[in-house]
Amino acid sequence: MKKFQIISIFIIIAVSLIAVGNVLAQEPVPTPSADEVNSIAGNMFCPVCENIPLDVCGTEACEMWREEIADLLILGFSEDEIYEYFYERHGDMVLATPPLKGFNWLMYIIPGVAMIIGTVFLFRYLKNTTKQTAAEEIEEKPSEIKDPYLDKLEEELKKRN
Amino acid sequence: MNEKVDIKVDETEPKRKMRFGSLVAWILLIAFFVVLAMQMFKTQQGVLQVGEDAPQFTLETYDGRVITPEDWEGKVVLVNFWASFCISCKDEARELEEVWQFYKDSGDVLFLGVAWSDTKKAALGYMEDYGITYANGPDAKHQITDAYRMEAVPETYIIDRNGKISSTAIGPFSGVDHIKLVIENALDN
Repeated sequence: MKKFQIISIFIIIAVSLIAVGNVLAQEPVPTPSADEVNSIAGNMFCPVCENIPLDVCGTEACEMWREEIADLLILGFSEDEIYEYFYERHGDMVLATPPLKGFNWLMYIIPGVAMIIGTVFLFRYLKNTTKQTAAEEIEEKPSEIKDPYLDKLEEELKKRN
Repeated sequence: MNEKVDIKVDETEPKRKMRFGSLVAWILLIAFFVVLAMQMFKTQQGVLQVGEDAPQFTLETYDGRVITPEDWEGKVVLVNFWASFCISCKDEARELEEVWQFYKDSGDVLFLGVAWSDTKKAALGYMEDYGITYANGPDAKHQITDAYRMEAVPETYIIDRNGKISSTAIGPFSGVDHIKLVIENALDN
């Protein structure tokens, strides 16, 4: 009888340990923090409220999108995969940095090209203006030294010749 | 009488030459303004008008069906743009479903709901809340809303059997009778 009691206690302890072990072995569900969600949302825009980043937008639509970002993080999506997920569903207008595709190239090229062309034109304009001013100064110099007595002297000399 | 007039040309005057750099600059400037004008024209066009050809599209529904333009043939199609976060959409959601229940067995009418900027979870919750059973799906990359030049939800387009816009509802319908009236008009065309 005593032997049976000892075996029973041993079995109960063993089963309890196995159960506790299983509970401890379970992976905790990773709940993303608001900062994690917002760090991704900050690089996105909601089409409902244009020009307001998703992390600071207070509309219901943006709240839903942030929830979706949290759900995707729980599912193990990386940051880039989340951007891709939203791009596939809503297009590149939701991304703060649109991908280099099609007409998007213009957004990246035009400012640089415009700056280069602007600099060249400005440089040439300043160069021409400086040249013109110098030429005008040279032309104007003789008139500056005009002297009525000198003119009269010149006139007298011409008469004598 | 035949006096010859000699026109003296000042050879010292510098000739104006269109330099390559200036040419490129002008081309780029013109191209920039063309693109800008095209974009402005696109945004200023407004919503689709009655009588225009309705843009056809394929809708992948939330329940996994694929509805193609072939499914539209010979039918009056109602295309409703909505969003779960849109208050006005909720006003007409049950009415649209009621009218769908009225026509669904006739085979003459097709209802298509297009969820705009919605998450799948929220869209499915909305459909369940309002008991919506007609085909509904997301608008991938806003291609459908762009084609219809949609400005805000809710917007509804009734397309006649010939694929032309029969009527539009910018904003919610005023009731079941209003929805039935526009569908009947399209069926009579």
